[in-house]
Amino acid sequence: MSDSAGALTAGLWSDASRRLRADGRAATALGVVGALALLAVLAPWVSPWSYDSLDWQHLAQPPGFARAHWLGTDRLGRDLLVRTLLGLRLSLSISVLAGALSLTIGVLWGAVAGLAGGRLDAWMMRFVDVLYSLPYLFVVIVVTTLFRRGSLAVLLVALGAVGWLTTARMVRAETLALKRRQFIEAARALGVTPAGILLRHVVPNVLGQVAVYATLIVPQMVLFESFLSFLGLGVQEPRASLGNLIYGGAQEMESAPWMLLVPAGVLVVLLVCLNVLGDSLRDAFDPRER
Amino acid sequence: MLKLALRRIAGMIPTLLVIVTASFAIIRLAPGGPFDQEQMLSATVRANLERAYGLDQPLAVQYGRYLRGLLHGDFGPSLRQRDFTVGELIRQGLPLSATLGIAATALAALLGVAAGAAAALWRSARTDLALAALTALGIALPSFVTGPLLAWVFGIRLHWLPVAGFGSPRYLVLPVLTLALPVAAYLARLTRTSLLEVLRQPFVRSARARGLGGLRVLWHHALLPALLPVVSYLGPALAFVITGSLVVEAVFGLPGTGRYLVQGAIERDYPLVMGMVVVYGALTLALNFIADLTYGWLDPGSRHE
Repeated sequence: MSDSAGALTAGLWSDASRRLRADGRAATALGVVGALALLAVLAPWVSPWSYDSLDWQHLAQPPGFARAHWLGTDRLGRDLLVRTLLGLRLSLSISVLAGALSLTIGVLWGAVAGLAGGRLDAWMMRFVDVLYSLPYLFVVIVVTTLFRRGSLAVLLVALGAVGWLTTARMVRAETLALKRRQFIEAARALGVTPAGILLRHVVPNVLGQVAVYATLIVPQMVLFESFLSFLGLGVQEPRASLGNLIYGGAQEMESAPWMLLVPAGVLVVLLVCLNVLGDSLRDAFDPRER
Repeated sequence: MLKLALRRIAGMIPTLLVIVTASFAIIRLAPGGPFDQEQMLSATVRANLERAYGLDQPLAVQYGRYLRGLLHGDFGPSLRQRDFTVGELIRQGLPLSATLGIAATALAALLGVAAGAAAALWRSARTDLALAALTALGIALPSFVTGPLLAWVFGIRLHWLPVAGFGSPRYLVLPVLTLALPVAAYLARLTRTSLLEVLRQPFVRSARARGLGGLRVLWHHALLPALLPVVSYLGPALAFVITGSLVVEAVFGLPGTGRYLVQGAIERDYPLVMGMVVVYGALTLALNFIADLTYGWLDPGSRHE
C-alpha cells in the first residue's frame, strides 16, 4: 500500500474502488441492497399498521395497490408489507451483528494462535478443525439449547459461533507471515508487550482481508438466521423475521400463496444482490486479472 | 493407500470423542430440563422420573454410562417419546433419510457435471451468461425457499406431484430436486472451469489433431482429469446434503430422522439430541473419509501429503 509508486499503481484501496466503480453489476446490487435496507429502517413509517396489529376487516387479503394492505394480510389480518419489512430489518441487523461478532472472535483467535505458535497454536487450530468437520447446524442447535428459546441472544451467539472459523484460519495464516516481518521484530525489541503487538501491529494489518470476507459473511448470516427461524429455533412469533414468515407462508400456500411469495421474493433478491456484491468486491481486491 | 486410510481412521476416533464430550457437556449445562413442560408433575413424581432415567446422578457418572452404552450401540431411551429408545427412532427414520441423501447427491452429480461439461464444450457468450445466472440463483437460494416454491408450482398449481408426507417414490421427487439443486449448481461451475482448463492442455489438442470429435475427446480423455476438483468438493457437498436434509424433511413432512434433532433440542430430549449428533457426526466423518479416499485413488500425487 505504498503511495510513492506513482500513477501506475495507485495502491490497493484506490485500485479496488476504481475496479468496483467500473463494475455495473456491483453498482446495481449495491443500489438494491441499499434501497431494501432503507425501506427496512423506515418500515414503521411506511404504513400505519404495526407488525402485530390485527385488522379484523381484512383477514387473509390478497395483495393489490387499491386495497388497504398493498401486499395483503395473513390469516390474523396482520399487514404483510410491514411484517416483511420489519422481518427484513430484524434479519439484517441480527446478521450484521452476528457477522461482526464472528469476525471479532475469528480475528482474535487467529491472531493469538498465530502469534503464540507452538502447542497453544496447535490446540487452538485443532479445535477449529473439529468444529469445521461438523455440519454447522449441529453446532448451532446444540448452542441454541443453552438458552431460552426465542431470545435474540441465542441467535447471536449461535450464529457467531459458526461464522468465526474461516476467519480464524485466514487470520492465523496471515499472522504467521507477518510475525517474521521486521517491524514486528522491531516492536518486540523495543519491549512492546505481546498484547500490544497483537492489537497495534497484527490486527490492523489483517483488516483489509477481513473486510473483504465480511461482505461474504453477511449473506451467510442472513441465510443461517432465516434458516433457524424457519425451523422454529430462531425468531419466534409474533415477531417477524424472513425465516419465520417463509415458514408461515409455506403453511398457508394453498389458500394464500402471497404469504409465501412476498417474503421468499425479498429474501431471494437480498441474497442474490449480497452475493453479487461480495463477488465483485473480491474480484476488485484481487490483483490478478480475471 | 492403506496407510493413509488407517491414519485417517485413527484420526477420526478422537474427533468423534471430542464431539460426544462437547455436546454432552453443552447440552447438560443448559438450563431447563426434559420434564419442565409437564407442569402438573409433583416434586416426588419429577424426582422419581429423574431417578428412573439416571438424571439424579452426578454428571460424570451419567457421562460414563452414556459412553459405555454407546460402545454397545445403545443410545438410551428417548425422554419425550415414551416407549421408544433413541436407537429405534433413528433406525426407523434412517432408511428414508439415506435414500433422500443418496438420490439427491446422485442427481446433483449427474445434473451438475452434464451442465458444466455442456457449457464448457459449446462455449459461447450466451451459454456462459446463462450458466452463470442459473448457478448464481441455484447457489443463493436456500432449500427452505426453493422447497416451498417448488411445492407450490408443481404440487398446488399444476397438481403433478404430492407436496407432503410419504407413501410412494413419487413423494420423493420434489424433496430430492430441492436438495440437489444447490449442489448441482456448484458442481456445474466447478466442472465448467476445470474442463475448460483441461481442454487447453496439449494432450487434448493432440487428440483433436488425430481427428477425434468433441464428445469422444471429452469422454475418453478430458472428463476424468477434469473431475478431480469436483471429487474434492464431494466432502463439503455431502455435509451440505446432510444438513439440507433436515430442512427438506421439515418442508415436505417426510418421516426421516431430520426432525428429531430440532424436536429434541426444543423439548430438551437429551438422549435424542445426543444420539442425532453422534450418528450425524459419525456419518459426516465417514463420508469425508470416503471422499478423501476417492480423491487419493483418482490422484496418486495427493496420497503422500
